[in-house]
Amino acid sequence: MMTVMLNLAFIPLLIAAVIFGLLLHGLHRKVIARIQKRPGPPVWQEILHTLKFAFKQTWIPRTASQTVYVAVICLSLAIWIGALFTVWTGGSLLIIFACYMLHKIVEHGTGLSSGSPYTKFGAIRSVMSAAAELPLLVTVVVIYLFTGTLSLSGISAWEAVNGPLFWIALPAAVSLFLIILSKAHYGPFSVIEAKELVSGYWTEHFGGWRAVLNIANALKTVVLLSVFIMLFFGALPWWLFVIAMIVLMVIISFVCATTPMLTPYQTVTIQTIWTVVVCIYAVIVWVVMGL
Amino acid sequence: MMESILVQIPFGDMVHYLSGYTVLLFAVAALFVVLAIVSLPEKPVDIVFGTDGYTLKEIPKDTMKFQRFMAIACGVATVGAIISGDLFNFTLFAALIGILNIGIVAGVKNRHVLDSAFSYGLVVMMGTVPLFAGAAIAAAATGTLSIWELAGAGAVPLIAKLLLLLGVLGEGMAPFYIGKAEITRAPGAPYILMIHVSSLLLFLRVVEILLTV
Amino acid sequence: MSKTGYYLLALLAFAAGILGLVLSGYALVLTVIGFPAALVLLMLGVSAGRKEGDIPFVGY
Repeated sequence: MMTVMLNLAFIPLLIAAVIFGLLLHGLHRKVIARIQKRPGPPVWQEILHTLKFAFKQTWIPRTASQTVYVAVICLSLAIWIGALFTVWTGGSLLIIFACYMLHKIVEHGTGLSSGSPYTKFGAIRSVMSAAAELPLLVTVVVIYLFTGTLSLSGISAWEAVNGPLFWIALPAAVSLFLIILSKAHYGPFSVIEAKELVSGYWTEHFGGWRAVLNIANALKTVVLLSVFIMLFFGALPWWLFVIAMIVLMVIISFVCATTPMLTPYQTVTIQTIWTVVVCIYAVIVWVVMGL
Repeated sequence: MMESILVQIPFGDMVHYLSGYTVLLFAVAALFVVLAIVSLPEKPVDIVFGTDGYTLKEIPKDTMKFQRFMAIACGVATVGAIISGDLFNFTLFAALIGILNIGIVAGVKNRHVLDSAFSYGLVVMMGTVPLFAGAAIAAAATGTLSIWELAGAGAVPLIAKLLLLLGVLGEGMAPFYIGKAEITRAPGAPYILMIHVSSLLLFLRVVEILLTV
Repeated sequence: MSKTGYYLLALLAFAAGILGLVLSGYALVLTVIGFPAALVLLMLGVSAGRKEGDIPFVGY
């Protein structure tokens, strides 16, 4: 009975997470705009976008691969609903890891499914963006070295006893921050949706399809930020959690506003170099723990 | 390990299994195999520069059928790698996925794609060396290749795990994957998609194996 | 498909999602597929038979 109540409480959480995620995206754009000394859109702009696109006349392009075109959109929302549910029930970190990698497949599929060359280049670049799995893997390994468990509830319990992981596992925290940054819009790593490709992989997904992708991206932001806070700061009271997510989003917006877009090969280089740094750190931790 | 085992298919000491984590990978692989079976490829559109006209590229039916066969075979190999409860079977499926990935674009008549597929193929074949070496060292050190028996024991030496990881990275993950990125220029969406799907799902499975054995 | 058709299917998908949450375990796959499907069908239902530019609210 308890599990059923917990599960049903997921539905209002889902709606709240979508709205909060879209507000975070709006905040992201607002902060970037203010750094660039312009007023920027209102903070609820992304919510307005999603509503507007949702009710535009929507069809499936005739020259697209129609089944893939629709299925990949449904898959994008499905994986982030699954990831949010995993965060809600304190499930395994590996599932969050899997959802992050599956999102890359979704970006790839979204780009390839229409016949447009812009989306195809976005899709090719999304294959290159899979370099992010290296820092993600070493982050998971470092966390496993410290806590001995990969379930989110287990990690939070470890941190309740031993203090936050942020200071002792700082390279892993930077690594996860890089991973979240690589998925932020307008960031240095967002070559997939770069403006030289019009909108990159989601150029040809319009109307209702774009609204669903917006919602999936909002959920992605909420899940990634909550996982960062849960992994490195432990379980906080809900209001402190929300404040921490807003602070983290503002930090990401500062980085996005002040860095240029990297070339695809540079994104791979930076992520590989940081992986090597975290690997050396993990070896040091392992040796010290063994002593 | 940390996930409950949902399904077991025993074959003697090789127990193929699906855990709470790999069932997610299985579902995605199955979805993409179904997509490869039922979808038709897209028609890439290019404009004629300076005019309002556009050109549509239609993929000839025999190329499409060949790509579809390769994509379905690659999907089935991915499902095999995900379900496999045996280290050597896993490495065999990984090598098979590498070969089929080249096969998916082998029928495309684009020189750049074929050159990249050749480079990618070389890296995959080189990657099979650490793959099989890792499995061999695991077998030599512990006397068994069954993931079921090795689970939780921590008996597999670290070098074997690192070699397995290196082999899977060579199959299509950073930093050895640039050939794979270039071969996705080929037309034929639901089939080319399988290249990236298989590599990523293989990587996700190897992470679970390395944390289990 | 008609508007009512889309709305009924959206309701069915949403109900399947709730059923998945109540049953828990494997049945969560119903939730994870049902909720996005319900959303997509709802959007298709609202925009079925409508012309571009006919926005129900938002005011612009």
